[in-house]
Amino acid sequence: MNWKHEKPSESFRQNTLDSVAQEMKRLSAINKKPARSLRDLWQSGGFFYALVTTSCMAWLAFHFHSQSLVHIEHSPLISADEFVLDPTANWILDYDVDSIEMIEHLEELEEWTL
Amino acid sequence: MQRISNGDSNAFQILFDRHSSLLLGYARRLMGDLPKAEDISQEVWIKVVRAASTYQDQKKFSSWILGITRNTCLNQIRDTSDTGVTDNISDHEIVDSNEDLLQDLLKKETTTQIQKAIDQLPIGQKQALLLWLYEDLSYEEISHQLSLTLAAAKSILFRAKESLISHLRGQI
Repeated sequence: MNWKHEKPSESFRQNTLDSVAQEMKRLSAINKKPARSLRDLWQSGGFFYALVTTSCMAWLAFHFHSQSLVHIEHSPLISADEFVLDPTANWILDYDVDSIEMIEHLEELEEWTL
Repeated sequence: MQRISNGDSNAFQILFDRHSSLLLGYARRLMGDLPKAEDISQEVWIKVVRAASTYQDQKKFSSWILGITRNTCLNQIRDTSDTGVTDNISDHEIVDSNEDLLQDLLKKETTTQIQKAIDQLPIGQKQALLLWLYEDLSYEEISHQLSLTLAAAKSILFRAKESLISHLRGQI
């Protein structure tokens, strides 16, 4: 060992190793933080946001699904001639209206044309 | 370092046993007394563990850890006192003819005598000298580390070597 070195005492060595072990534990705990519980989520308002988001998604899914059913199932029933016969039905197809209302109008249209 | 960043305390112990004497020696020479050097060393080891995941293999580990030690010591010295490093040094070119003599004396003297001689140097000279002796930094790197002009760094280092030689000779 040359003059540049200084042999650490055993107490210093042990003390440093203990301090470092504690620091390692602390860092490990930070890195392995457990997933948030439902209670934490509820307390932080996350549950509310999750509920709102899910509701919106469900509503949108229902809305677009209903619209696609209307187009698939009812649109072929309306021929160009029938459409001309009832000009009031025009708004039903051109405007974005509630799908249930649209179905009712289309059913009326079918009855009227039959 | 990868193992240490994964929380392996055995890997840390191996690293500690390999480098702690050099680190403690450097801190001791710079700070002057052992209790302060031990505090600094402990702080450095904690920093090493925290920075383990960012350590890059390209850099030699001893250089990396001595750099951390130096900065920690300098921060400590800066916080407690004036560094004594002045920049009003003449810009004359220093002819470094005493390097071999100094290295020869350092090999012959005991650690205690060297420590005593280093302790007698002003803090600015001590910093420059230890940067040169421990980390093999060039004049330019030393001037950068101590925020000095190149000429000032050369001058300080020259004076440090001269002072150390005279202190070591005086102890014989």
